[in-house]
Formats: sequence, C-alpha cells, structure tokens
Amino acid sequence: MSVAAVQELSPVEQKLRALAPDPNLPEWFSAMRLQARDAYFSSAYPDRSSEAWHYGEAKRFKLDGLDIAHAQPGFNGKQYERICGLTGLPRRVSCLSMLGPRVTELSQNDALLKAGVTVMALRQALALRSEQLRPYWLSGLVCPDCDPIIAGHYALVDNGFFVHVPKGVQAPEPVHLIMESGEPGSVVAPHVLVVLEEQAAADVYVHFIGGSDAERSLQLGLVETHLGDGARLSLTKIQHLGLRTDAFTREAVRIGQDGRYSSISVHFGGYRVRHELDAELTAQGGEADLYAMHFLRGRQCYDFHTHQNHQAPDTRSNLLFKGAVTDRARASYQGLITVAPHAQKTDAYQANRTLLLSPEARSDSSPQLEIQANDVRCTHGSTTTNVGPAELFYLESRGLPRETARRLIVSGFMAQVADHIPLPNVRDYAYNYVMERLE
Amino acid sequence: MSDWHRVCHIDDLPDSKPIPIEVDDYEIILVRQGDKVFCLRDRCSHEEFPLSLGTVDGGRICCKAHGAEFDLATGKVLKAPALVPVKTYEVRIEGGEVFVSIE
Amino acid sequence: MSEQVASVEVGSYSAGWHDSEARYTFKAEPGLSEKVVRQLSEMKGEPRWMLDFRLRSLRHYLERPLPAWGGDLTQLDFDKIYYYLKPEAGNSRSWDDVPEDIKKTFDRLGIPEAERTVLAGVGAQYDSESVYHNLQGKWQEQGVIFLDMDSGLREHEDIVRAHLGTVIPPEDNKFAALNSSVWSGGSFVYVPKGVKLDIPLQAYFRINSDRAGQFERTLIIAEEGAFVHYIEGCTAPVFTTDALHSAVVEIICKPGARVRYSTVQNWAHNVYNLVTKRAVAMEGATMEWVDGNIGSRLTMKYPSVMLVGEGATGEVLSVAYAQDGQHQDTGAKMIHVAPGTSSRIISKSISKGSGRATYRGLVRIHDGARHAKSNVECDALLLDESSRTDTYPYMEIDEDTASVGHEARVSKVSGEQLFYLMQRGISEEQAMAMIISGFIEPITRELPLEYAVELNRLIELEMEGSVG
Repeated sequence: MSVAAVQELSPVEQKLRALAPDPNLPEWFSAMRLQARDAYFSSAYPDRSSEAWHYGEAKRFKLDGLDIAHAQPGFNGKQYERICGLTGLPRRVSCLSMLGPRVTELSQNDALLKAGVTVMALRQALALRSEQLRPYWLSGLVCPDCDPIIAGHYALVDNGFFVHVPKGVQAPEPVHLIMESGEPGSVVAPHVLVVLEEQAAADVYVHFIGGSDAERSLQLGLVETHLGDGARLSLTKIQHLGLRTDAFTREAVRIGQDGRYSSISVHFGGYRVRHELDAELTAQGGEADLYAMHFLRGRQCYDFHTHQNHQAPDTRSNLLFKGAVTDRARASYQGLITVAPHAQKTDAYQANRTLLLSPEARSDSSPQLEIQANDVRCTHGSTTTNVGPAELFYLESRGLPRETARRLIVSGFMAQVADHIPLPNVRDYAYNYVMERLE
Repeated sequence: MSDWHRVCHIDDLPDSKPIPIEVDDYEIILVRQGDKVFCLRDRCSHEEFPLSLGTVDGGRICCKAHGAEFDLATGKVLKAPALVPVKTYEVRIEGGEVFVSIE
Repeated sequence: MSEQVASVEVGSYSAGWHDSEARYTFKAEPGLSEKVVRQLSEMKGEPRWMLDFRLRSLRHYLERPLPAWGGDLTQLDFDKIYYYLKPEAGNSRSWDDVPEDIKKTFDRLGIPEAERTVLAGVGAQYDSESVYHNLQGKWQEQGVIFLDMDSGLREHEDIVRAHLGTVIPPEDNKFAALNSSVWSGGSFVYVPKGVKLDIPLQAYFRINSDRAGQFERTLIIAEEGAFVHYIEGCTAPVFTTDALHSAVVEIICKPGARVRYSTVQNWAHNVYNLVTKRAVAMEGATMEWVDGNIGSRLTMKYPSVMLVGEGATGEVLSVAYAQDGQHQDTGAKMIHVAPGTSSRIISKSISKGSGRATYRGLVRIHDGARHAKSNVECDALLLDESSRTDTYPYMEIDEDTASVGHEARVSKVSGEQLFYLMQRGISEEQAMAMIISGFIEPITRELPLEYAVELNRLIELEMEGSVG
C-alpha cells in the first residue's frame, strides 16, 4: 500500500471529462448532464465539519478507481428468481430490470397496460416521451449541481426507470423495478422517476441488488417522486447489495395537495451506505409516512439523513426508522423537521430507534427541529438500547431459551416497520432475513 | 487473530509527522520517531477529528481541534479535553519494511 | 446612610445597577493584544506561570476562527471591546437597588440587618471588614474557602495552579481561549472533605470584586463527600455597556461529592453572553446544573458533565426565555466514560415575539461505560406566530449495554387551557402567565425559592400587554 496518494482520473472520470451530448437523448437532458459533470469536477467533497456529513463519509462516494459497469447477460440469475418469487407469478406483475444501459423486461402486465400505467426504461421514455418528462426532470426537486455526489449521479445517469400513472387511475397491480449494481470496480447511476397525476394511486417496489461481496463497486442512485393533488403512492425500497458495494441513494418526493406518500426502506446489504430522504410537503393537506428498517453486520456503516420539510399548512409527516446493529457495524441517523412560518397546523413526528446487539456496535443519532410556526405539533424521539433485560427475563421465565427470546424481541422490533410493506411476500422476506441473521 | 499489512518503507516516513493511511478501510496514522514507528487510529477520542492534522511533540501527538494530547506509544490521554485513550496498533519493522497489525 | 444612588426604575420592580456609573481607576486601550494582557497581569501582580498561561491562551484565541455554528456573532466587533477595566474598589449602592431575590435570600438565611447591607455592598456606615468576617468566619471554621478568583490565585496559588485549565483547557474553544487570556474576577471555591455547606454560596456575596465581570473565571473544587450549592447571578436585569461577557466555570467533584450550580442570567439585551461551563464528576459524585436564561442578546452556553468515575451522575435543568431580538442558544453535554453512570437533561424554552430558542446538546457514551443511562427531554413553547425554536441534539453511543433516550416536543399555549382559566375569571394575561409558570415549574422548583418567585413575577410582567 503506497503512502503517498496519487491523484489521477479514474476510467469513469476520464469518460466524464470526454462527455459530449448524446444525439439519442434530448438536448435539455444532455445540457443538464454536462452542467452536472462540470460541477462534479469543480466541487469539493464535504468533510465532517459540514453538518450534513457529521457522521457520514462523503469521500466514500467518489468515483476513484472505478469504471462504468458493463452489462453481463445472465448476471445474477438467482437473484432474479428470488425476486420473482417475491413478486408472485412473473406474469402477474410488471417487472423491469436494469444494469447500466441494458434493461430487461421480465414481465409485462396487461392490466397495468390497459389502465394506462406506464412502466418503461428511462432511456426509452426520454426518446419517446421527452416533453412529458422534462418538467419533472427539471423541476428542481433535486439540485443537480449543488454537491459533487449528486452531480456525479446526474453526469453519469443514462438509464433507470420511468413510472407514470395517469389522472384518476389506481394502478391495479404492483410495479416491481430491479436495479442491479455492477461488477467489482464499477459504478452505476440509476434514476427512478415516478409521476402520479391527480388522484392516481400505485404500489411500487424498487429492488437494489448486485454488486460484489469482495471488492468495491459503487451505486449512485436517485429515486424521485412527484405526487399530484390527491395522489397516493406506496414506495418500498429493498436494498440487498453485495457486502462491498458502497451505495448512495437520494430519495426525494414532492407531495401535492392532499397527496399521500408512504415510503418503506429496507436495508440489508452494501458496505458504506448513505440514504438521503427529502420529503417536501409543499401543498396543503399533504402527508408523508416514512419508514425504514435496517440490519447491520460486519463493518457496515449506514448513514441516514432525512428531511421532513413542511412548507404548507395542515400537512402531516410521520417517520419511524429502526435499526439493529451487530458485529462492528455503525448506524447513524440525522433527521430534520423544518416548519416554515406559514405552515400552521403542521403535525410532524420523527422517531429513531436503535438496538445495539454486540459490544463493538455503534449508534449515532441526531433528530433535529427547526420550527418557525407556532400552531403546530412537532415531536421527535430517539432511543438506543440493547435488548431490554426486563423483556428478556419475561420471556425466559415463560420457558423460552435466551437466544429465542432475543430473536423474538428483535423481530418484534423490526415488525413495527415491516408491517407497513403492502405485499405479504415482500414483508415476509424482510422479516425472515432478520430472523435468519439472528441465528 | 491479527493480520499483518505491509504499509510502507520506513524511509517513506518523515520524522515526527503524522502520516494518514488507510489499511483495510481503517483510517490510521503512522508516526516515525528515529527508527521507531507508532501507529494510532486517525481519530481524536474527543470529537473524532483527524489526528493526522495535528502535530507531534516529543512522545506525544496533539490534536489540532481542541488541544487534546495523547501518548504516541500507548494512546493514553495526556491532556484534556480528551477523556479516553486513542486506539493503537502494533507495528513491526523488518528490513526497513513497516508492517501494521489490524485486528 | 450614604445616598449613593444608581439609576432606579419607577414601578413595582427595581432595575439593576449601571456599570456606567462606576468610575474606573484603570482602563486599558480597546481591542485585544499582548500589551493589554501583559498590563493586566502586571496590575494584578500575578506569578509568571499565570502570565504565560494568559499569553499562550491569547495566541490560541487569535489563531482560532469563530465557530461556524450557533448564534450570529457577525455584529460583534472584537476590536472595540475594552478587555480590562478595574472599577473603583467597593461599589456602593443603596438598599433600594438590591434585587428582590437577594433581599429575600437574606431573610431566608436569617442574616441580620447590619450584615445584609454590607453583604449587599450597600453603604459605608458599617465597618464592612468585621461584619463580613462573621460569615467568613463560619466558612473558615469549616475550612471552606470562598474568595474572588484573583484573591484565590494570590492566597492559594498551589491549588489553583493544579486545577485551573484541567477541565477546560484554553484550546477548547475560541471563547475559552479569550477568557483564559483576559479573565478577571469570578469565584474560587474549595470545600474540604466531608463538609456539607447548608447555605448556598452566592456570587453576590463576594466583596471587592467585579460583580458583573466580563470575563469571570470560576473554579470550584469539592473534595470527597463534600456538598456545596453555588448561585450565580440574580433575576434583576443587569445593565452594562460591555457588549461581550465570556465566562469560564470549571468544577471538580471528587468521589462522593455533590455540587449544584444555579444560574439565573438576565443580562441586558445588548449583551453577547458566551460561556463555557464544565464539570468533572468522579466516582459516585453528582453534578447538577440549574440554568435560567432570560436576558442577553445572544447566549451560547452548554453546561457539561464528564462522568469519569463509576456511578457518577450528571444533571442539567435548563429554562430559556427568548423575546424579540433575543437568541438563547443553550443546551447541555453529558459524556459518559465510566460504568454505571447516569445523566438527565431537561430543557424548557419559551419563544415570544420574534425570539429564538435553540437547544444544542450532546450525549456521548464511550465504549466501556457499561449500563450507562441517559435521558433528555426538550420542550419548546412558541407563543407567537413569529416565534422560533430549533433543536439539535446528538447522541453517540459506543456501548451496547447503555440505554439512551431523547424526546422533544414543540407546541403553543393550548387554547383550551387558556379558555378554561379565563372562564374562571382570570384575565388572559394572567392565564398565560400561569400556564407558562406551570410549563417551567419542573425547573423553577429546583431553584432557590426566592429566585423561583422572582422568575415567575418576571414572567407575569412580560405577559402584561403581550396578549391581544
């Protein structure tokens, strides 16, 4: 290992330098890519002195030593099977998989098609529905050049998924999207754009798989949602990447009047994982329910950063993030609730609960509030404990062996979040994974 | 159960200056004093600022952030506001090659 | 009776006294420099090591940037501040100027009339030396040392040298460095083994020192099994032309000792109050900070306890009141190093008008602090639409057997509660005052009664004319 660091552009960085507008993509899309590319090279990566990165490590998401992922046919066949098992019979759901520029349609669902629901690759959508995507892509929900990591995503992104539900339509079946991370030494930048028009409703699942257990790969993902007035979306994300895959995900949602966003994030894989969640309640009556469950082991570091942003009156948000930490892993949580001066009658709640299950486990938690309206109800709570000795004793005194009692308590702890996953198969998968790990 | 990692040659290290390196994703510093090399975690135990930004004075390392000081050999606290020691790692030098043991 | 009268406000409530009335026997030039520090140290006749300590601190202060977080310090011009002013010895004042809570303390302590006026620094009629020594005598009998810091350094140099800067080194933060270079006044308290003081020591009782010192340095040492309750400040608003007050308080609680430090701060609204307060609690020791912040333009203060001995306990009870133009940026820090330690932080804040109350806290549990327990509760009351509150707690836990909880709530005065009280013939202002008093009661009940009473009276006054 060399002592002196050598500053050289990685293969992917060289490609970014050489990036030119792609004639197959709309001009406005290319323009943003180039802008983001410039921002990537000119911005400094934040360090610990930056409030937003107090517990995280921004440099983990740099593009050093990486190249763009190559699509590999037949890659992760087993994982596909597993997910199809989760989703039910393949024919019944719409399921798209993506690795780099290649998207595989595993199954298409007639009911969704008939209802007018669009589920297509982002590239395809950019080619066929450019003008429909444009206002959302350029909406500013996510600032493409404000920080180098997001800039890296926008500079690299060339594929992902586009999901659209027209006005008044309730998607009759769930939608499953599979994002694969690439081979060791590679980076992928998938982008999911979900648009629900007024009074639309849908149940969407995003599965993050792939990557490597042995050598570093990187995923810079973005999941953005635009909810029209009265629209309702349930969005479940399951991250089960390889144990040496670093993953950054920014999840952003803009919720329209009386819109309802329900987000469940399940994190089991990855190495250094950062999940940023930005919920903007910009119109009256908007609601956001944000759940997460995570189980850490080895030397995993999960860094969560959430923002419940109340900018309109009569809005409600509710956040519950629960994690169990084993081995030498570290779970960090920083959450902010902001209430703008005119956002009266806001009702916001935020809870972070962590179980430390081993001597070297570590937890950091910083639930924060910035409140400028007075007729509000804002509460937050954070607890970090081991498995309660009192609860253990109670179960043991009823004849349960200690280990079983412990498993029961931890699974009950996680169930509170898992129970919000609409599809039973997926819910069971999340729950069972935790149980297996506890054995 | 420890793993020995070869990190550098002793001549790569300037005297009395903390050099940050990463071994197996552990952030550590190496400090050479004469023909001895010390290895500590690159995090002050006070507020986790990088010790690599600090200075070495005799047998101690001073954190730049709030002035905490630690013994290079043992990681022991020598000056407030630190309260707990900094983790140290074993170093072995063979033929000028520096090896560090990370559990 | 000497009629030295400082400005007195008409009304049921007397204001504090003005520094501007005092005459200064020495005034250094404005701004801070090595020259000013050397002059200061020489005037005080300090030993060489103290001068070195000051100079080293000055060097660090000048290098260190302002913190990037916290309140807005951009309006503070450090070059215009006078860093050392030595007032005429023995400020005299009239009995009318003495704050109510202090007067009541005398009542409670049963201190005779003659002594009261002396302790209050009033009048030259009585032989100040001999009367003061009665109370002093009582303390001396027990081996208690209670002096201003300058005298403490002079008369107990060894103890001071061994402990000063060990809890808060000058490099800790920019304002600790500032204080360490220009400190003057403050208290030196030493309580010997096993001595439990039944009457609180009040900063107000110190004679012949800057009562409202800009850069007070306080050092309190409680030996094994000792107990002392120290009270700083008073509820009366303190007027001063000094823009900046930056105190440092270091407390050492040896095994089994207990120290309670109560502060009621009511600086005038032009003052920047930037304070570093920290205690070390050894085995089985208890440290309690009771902190009331009503005044100042900006207060930044986070009383801390380092729980370094097994079974040590730390507690911070904090109440902050921010009105128009005020920012109370307060909180607490609890660092658990040893096993079996426990801590509790209760913070209550009230924001009125455009006032802003911020809670900033840290609970850190180091690996090895087995079965540590910590609980934090923050409650913020926003009275008006333009009021503001922020909460920035940090919990860093490296010990799996620890148990840490934090809860915060933001709300406004309940319409139902108000209605209920008004139905019983109570005016809206009075009802507001009652509700707010009830809100902060868990903290005010820990303050000496006379302070609690005065604090509640202040709140009543505030509520008058505030509603409607």
